[in-house]
Amino acid sequence: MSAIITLKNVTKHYLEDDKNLLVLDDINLEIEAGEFFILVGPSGSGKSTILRIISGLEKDYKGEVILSKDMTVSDTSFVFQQFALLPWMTVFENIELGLFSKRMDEKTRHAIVAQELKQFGLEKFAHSYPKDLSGGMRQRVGIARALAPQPKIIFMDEPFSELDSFTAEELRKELLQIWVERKPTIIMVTHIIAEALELADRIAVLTARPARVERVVKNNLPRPRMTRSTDFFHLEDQLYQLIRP
Amino acid sequence: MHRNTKHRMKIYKSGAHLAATFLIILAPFLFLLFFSRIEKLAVSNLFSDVFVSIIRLFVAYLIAAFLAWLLATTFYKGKRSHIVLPIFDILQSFPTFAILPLAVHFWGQTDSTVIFFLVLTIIWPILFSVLSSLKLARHDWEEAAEIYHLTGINYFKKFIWPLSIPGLVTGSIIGLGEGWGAIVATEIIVNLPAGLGGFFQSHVQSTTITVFGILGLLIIVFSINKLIWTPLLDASHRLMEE
Repeated sequence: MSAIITLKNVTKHYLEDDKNLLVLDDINLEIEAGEFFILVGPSGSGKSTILRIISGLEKDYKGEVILSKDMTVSDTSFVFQQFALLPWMTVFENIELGLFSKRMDEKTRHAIVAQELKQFGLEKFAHSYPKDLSGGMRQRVGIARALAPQPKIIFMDEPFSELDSFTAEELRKELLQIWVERKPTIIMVTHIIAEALELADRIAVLTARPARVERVVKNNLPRPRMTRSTDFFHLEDQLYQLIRP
Repeated sequence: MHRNTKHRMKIYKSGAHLAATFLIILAPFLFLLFFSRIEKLAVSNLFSDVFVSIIRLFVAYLIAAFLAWLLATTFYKGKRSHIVLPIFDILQSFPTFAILPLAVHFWGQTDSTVIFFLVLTIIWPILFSVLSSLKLARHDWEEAAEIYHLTGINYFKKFIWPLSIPGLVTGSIIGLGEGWGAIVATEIIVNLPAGLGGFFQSHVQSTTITVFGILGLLIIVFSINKLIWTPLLDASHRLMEE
């Protein structure tokens, strides 16, 4: 097996009112290259904290996060729950953001941005500012920005939770299509089980605080997934049982 | 032009806006001309007094703004901020006029003394405004900058600089407001012949001239505000709109 990321005994405490609160309790995970991996769990369980630790945003923890040898931290990117677009930059400039750290000239950079704008149907909005866009369009920019540097891993922190359900469904379809085309590893956090079942290859179910990995469920439903099939509902029920014991 | 494609920092909205702005520039000049006629003052003296003070204020402002921005962006976060920010807090409460005699002692009755003193006055509002601008940055903006490895010159150009603009503008408005007060006071205390302080001091006997002088100063300050700061303030607010 070729694990692109391995978590070994990852543990984290928060200091809250002078009490040492355990939030992550001995998390062990292996995520494979090209996999769509999702963490689900009750809200406040520390799913996002795990994502922040793997992505390097959170540095204060115990245990090990091991990247595969051909990986560096700059091969990763992040899609934020509230988009995190910089308001003083146009859509074009926001997508360009992840390319400045790469060694490339301006022409190449602009060509890549143009390509992402096209992929997400954002050409018309290239010179608009984020405030002029709807939530769905903003998150498209967020995803385009994450894809532009051609990362090996994309972290996604509840990327659809701020959107209405129709837009979220549309974006999930677009994301799946891109994932099939470009094959990055995606590690996503969500609290919606149906969303996890629609997207993921494997789903790690976390317990309430302190978070432990209750079980890693392999999702063998054939793609494209029928979200209203008996098998889908059956698996959804199983996962509910796991989360609410 | 499509409204979306307008640049965020565009200041003048239309030709009419620009024309009105030019009228505002003319206002203080017309007033000074009119004033010198009525009071039989030499036009050249009057203009040079105003000019000298504005130049002093402008030089002091540039130095203060640069230093304030540099200090704020260097010390706004991390361990450094815990040590340095309390020191800034104390320093800004210090009554700057207490240093004035010492400055006169070192530099004498010169432009340097006045400019040094003005810098000490103007720097604090700018410093604290820029600091608060930087501290108001949303956490996920900083995380985005970190994830996408925005470092070095790009980090300053594309992240810190735009983020600090609103604070720089508000701070400048407050700082220059205090600066106008300080410049007249300092010029009088240091006893410089040229400049607005000298003007008010030498015409202390004539109430009419003093009243006209104050009126003229108001028009100048108003014009500068209308001309530069109000549009900049609007633009900087648009910049951060989400």
